Amino acid sequence: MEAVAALERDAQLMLRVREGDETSFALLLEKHRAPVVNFLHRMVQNRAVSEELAQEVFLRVYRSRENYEPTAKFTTWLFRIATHLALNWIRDGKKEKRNESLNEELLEGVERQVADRGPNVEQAMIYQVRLEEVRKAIEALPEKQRAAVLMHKYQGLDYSQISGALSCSESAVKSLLFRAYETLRSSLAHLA
Amino acid sequence: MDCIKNTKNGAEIVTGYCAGALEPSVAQEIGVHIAQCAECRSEVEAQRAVWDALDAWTPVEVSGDFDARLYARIAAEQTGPSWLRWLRRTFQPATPSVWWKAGVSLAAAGAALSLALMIGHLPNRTEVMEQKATVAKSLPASEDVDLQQVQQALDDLDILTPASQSPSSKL
Repeated sequence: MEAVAALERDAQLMLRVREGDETSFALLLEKHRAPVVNFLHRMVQNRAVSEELAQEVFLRVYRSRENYEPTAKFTTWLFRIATHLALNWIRDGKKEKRNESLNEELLEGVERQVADRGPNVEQAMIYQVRLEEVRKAIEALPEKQRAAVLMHKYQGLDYSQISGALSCSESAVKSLLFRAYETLRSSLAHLA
Repeated sequence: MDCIKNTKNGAEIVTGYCAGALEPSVAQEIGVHIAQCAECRSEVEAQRAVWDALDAWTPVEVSGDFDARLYARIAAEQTGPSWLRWLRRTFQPATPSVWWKAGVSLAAAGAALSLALMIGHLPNRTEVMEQKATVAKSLPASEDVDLQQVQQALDDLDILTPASQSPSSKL
């Protein structure tokens, strides 16, 4: 019930943005900034690119405020934009650049832990290896399965919202998730 | 209750149970069943293991200047020419535009219609025979003369060819 009320509030805020209320846009940005950036980060696996794409998401939301109609839940609409941008970026074939950045991020994480000289340096390195396994397993999923899992697992979107974001039926989403989790089960079995 | 694995939505129920997305009463019922069914318990444990492994990927922090950069971009767009804003709204819509799908459908329909018209106008066998006859009648009489001339030329060549090279000399 709270979720429904929250979504309705988002739509109301967006309608106020349409009327020219900048504060409502700031509230929407405050609420959805981190989820959108994190979703995109997990999709493209590059921090700088994920922020750039997230900026584009909010820019497009703001740009289309005049024509906004609350026909779908705001979150669904927002993640539809984000998914569209992420898939386009991935399909543009920028994988090599992404991997370079990913390695840099991993190295930074490990170096930071070592520099801290805390008692859990070994644990931190184990965590980094584990994280790398998870990243690779998710990266290996087909694009739509990846998007569905990320929205389901990390953003807590329901089947209806995911189907809206991916422009497919709910049964297709269930099938995508089932296949994705089956694949992840086998690829991450050694981490259990 | 029936074994979850044997139900139509078994995978969905297991996923929902592990995600905590089921209604509390349904989740409780599933919990009771799992406690008794080793097969379903194994299924849930496998799914939970995936769920837990994925938890390793914690969220990243958003840069402190994210909002400032965004508002700067918005301001830059607002001060830009109106035709550029219109172009952006038109060619960079918030959600993927589907106008091209209608275009593809129209093009496919047009192609199918053209093909149907072409097939409808293909001549049948009788028409082809009639056309051949018409063409044969319209051919000039000189066609026969030309053929005779060619034959004569070939015979002359045969006469001029030395006997040693003539194919008939080998016989």
